[in-house]
Amino acid sequence: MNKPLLQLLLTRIVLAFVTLFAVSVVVFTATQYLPGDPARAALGAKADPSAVEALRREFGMDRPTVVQYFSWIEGALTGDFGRSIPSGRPVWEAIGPRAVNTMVLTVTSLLLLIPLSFVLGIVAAIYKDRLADHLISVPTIVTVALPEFVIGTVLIVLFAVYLRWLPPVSLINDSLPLSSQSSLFILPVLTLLGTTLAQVVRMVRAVALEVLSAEYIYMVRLRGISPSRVLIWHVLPNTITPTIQTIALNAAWLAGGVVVTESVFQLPGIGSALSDAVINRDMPTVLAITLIITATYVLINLVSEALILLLNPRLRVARGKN
Amino acid sequence: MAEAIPLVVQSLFMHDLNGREIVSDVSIAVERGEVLAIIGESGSGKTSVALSLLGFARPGMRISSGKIMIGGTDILSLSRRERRAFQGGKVSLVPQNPTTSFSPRMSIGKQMAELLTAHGHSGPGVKQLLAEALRNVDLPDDERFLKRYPFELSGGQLQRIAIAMAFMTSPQVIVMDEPTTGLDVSTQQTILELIARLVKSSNASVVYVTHDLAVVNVVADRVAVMLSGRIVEQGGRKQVFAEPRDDYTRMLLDAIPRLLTDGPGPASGARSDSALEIQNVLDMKNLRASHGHVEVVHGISFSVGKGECVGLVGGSGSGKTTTGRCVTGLHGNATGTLLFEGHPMPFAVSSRSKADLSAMQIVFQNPDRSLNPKESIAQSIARAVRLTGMTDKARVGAEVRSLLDRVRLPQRLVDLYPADLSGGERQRVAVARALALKPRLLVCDEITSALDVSVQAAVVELLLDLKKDGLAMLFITHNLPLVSQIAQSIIIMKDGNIVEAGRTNEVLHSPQDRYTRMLLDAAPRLN
Repeated sequence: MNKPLLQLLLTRIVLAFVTLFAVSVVVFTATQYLPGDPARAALGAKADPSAVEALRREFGMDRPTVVQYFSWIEGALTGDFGRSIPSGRPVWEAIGPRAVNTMVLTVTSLLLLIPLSFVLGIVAAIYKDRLADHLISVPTIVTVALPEFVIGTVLIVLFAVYLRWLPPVSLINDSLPLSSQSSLFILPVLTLLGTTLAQVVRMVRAVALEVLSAEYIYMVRLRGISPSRVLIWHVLPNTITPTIQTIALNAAWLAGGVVVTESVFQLPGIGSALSDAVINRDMPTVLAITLIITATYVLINLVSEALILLLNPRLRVARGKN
Repeated sequence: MAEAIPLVVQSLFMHDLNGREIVSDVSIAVERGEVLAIIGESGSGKTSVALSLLGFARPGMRISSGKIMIGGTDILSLSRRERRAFQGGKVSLVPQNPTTSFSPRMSIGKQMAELLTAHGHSGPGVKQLLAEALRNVDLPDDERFLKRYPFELSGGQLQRIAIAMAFMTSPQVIVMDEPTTGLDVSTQQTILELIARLVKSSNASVVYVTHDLAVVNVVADRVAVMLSGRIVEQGGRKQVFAEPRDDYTRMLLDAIPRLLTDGPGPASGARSDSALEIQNVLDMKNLRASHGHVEVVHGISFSVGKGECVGLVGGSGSGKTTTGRCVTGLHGNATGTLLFEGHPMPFAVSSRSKADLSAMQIVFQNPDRSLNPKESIAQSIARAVRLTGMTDKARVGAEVRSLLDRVRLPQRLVDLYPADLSGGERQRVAVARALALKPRLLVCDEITSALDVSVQAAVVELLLDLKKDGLAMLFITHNLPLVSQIAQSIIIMKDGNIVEAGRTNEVLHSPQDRYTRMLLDAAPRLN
């Protein structure tokens, strides 16, 4: 790897940490000003004021905000997100299994999304305005117009109620291994795919159309190179880079936007944990989950930018002309 | 016998998807080691014919009937798979635009090797052939060079590689589609010599498509002239050039700008060297211009008088376009003194007054990109007319019509859109739009280089008329013959410096600078 590229990457990584830090400050400040007292929310409206005060002291909420922030961030950096206010259990213990569920859900969706959208997008581009293109384009455009709770509901009606192939809800049992419950993920994954696939397929199709009509593709063909080689070595590499940003956007959306899908299927994930925590004014949990989601966002963007840089021969080579 | 002739095309017809005939009944035959030039203007179908020789039709077009025999095999009767063995193997193509013809994310070594592998070469032989092919076109053949990506190479280098690849598989037929059009005059010259040398040594049959008749004179043995999809005349080069039988061929030959080394363009008349100062429309002193921190124009001085046309000539990268942009205020990163009609003017367009801005207009090289495709011709010109402060609808309309008259465009064009017009018509609309502001200086940046010769001639005639009316012009070009017809004085630029300047006839007749002589020698000419 050459120097300028390394520098670019290092700058991006430093910036990613700065972003995370800024977000942690903003989120922490915001929770301080959320209406409602966590201690009172935990103990109930009629609780004895001295008990509320004691709980506040126990969780360190009587200290100045700045001190609270630093003790929190210090813990967060070492993986200790504090204790959940209503239950008193460590935050991580409560949200850990749920975070795993969400991760399985989003990563599976993403792993299916990428190859599927490239295959469908490029096929649609090759057969532009012909049957294959319509078969791909029409359903993807229809599903992108539907919100995920509609797609989810339609899938439930079709596969759970009518065909009875799959359960209508995804109540995952923490005590059983996830691999034995994989069928519970099928409908949620399909729902997430339905909302993201269209955008990526449209983007791949648009980029591939441009590449396919580029002069260099004609030149390669007129050199007698076989169609499969043209596709894999000339069309695909030039389609990937412009699409990375769209994929990253959708991946980030998957990371944060699973809340609705999780609630449609009652899947115990990070999204439902977040909404529970907000209702209970469980600030340590809210902070932890927000930070995890932000970190995922930042990481996805970092990876996509690094990929764009690494795939660009201009930056990769950078040895100057002659 | 058909087998003896490598390329025979029999009554080829091509149609577009609307059923319009693009190529009608074209028949040609090219012997071994012979170069047939197909000449014609844009839209004549010459490129369609060229690509059909590889069994290929551009999207929206199809080969409807005819035979294309390569070494005795009709490639149109082959399956796609069988045809691929011919494409790149027995018949190869040198494209028009080298910079867009290479896969951008693959090193040139890999692209060359890919071609050889596709046509049955393997093992160490591939490397040897690669090295030999690169040496043949005077390029380095080391590993470092092979690992380069297209964006690391110049247009001239890429065209050499494209030529190397076209000859590499020892094809029987080589098709060249305007291979030098996108290149500098001096690069063009060396590429033409290279092509001539390789054709001789390879003994391949070559079809050379071009609109540049001067180039034909250098490379071709025989010539076929195309007009609206038909070949109107075919014969030996000398015969076609010396005694053309067809009216269209004669017209084409007459339209070519000839290098006038004896007489200058029509003189501006009352221009004596002593009375310069007051009459000058533009005085530029010690202009330095930079792109970012890189200085590209290094302190040049020149002036343009009323009714005078100054030709600013140079290859790409000479700084001639930047100079034109500095004059019109489009390039603010400059220092020096700019006097317009005697008063100083800042370089940044934002610090110039409206009156100053309209007094200087620029016309760009490519009218396709300078006209708004969503605006009709009338809207386009009227917008400029209204900038002069004219608001009355009827008067604006009348002004638009008189401007169209002035650039000799028919009135029926007013409601059409740029896409409905030919390249030459579009460029005249661009000139009309510039004239709407009644400029006293017109900067023309390569305004004819995207145009066909006959159209080019009409635009030049228009400019000569405007000059007679007293319009001062800075005519930026790389085309020396053209400048010799229109400019009284000439400035030759190279690498951001003026290497020679003076009266056109003096500069062209007895060039003092080595670079000027090189440009003069490089300008292809007839006879």
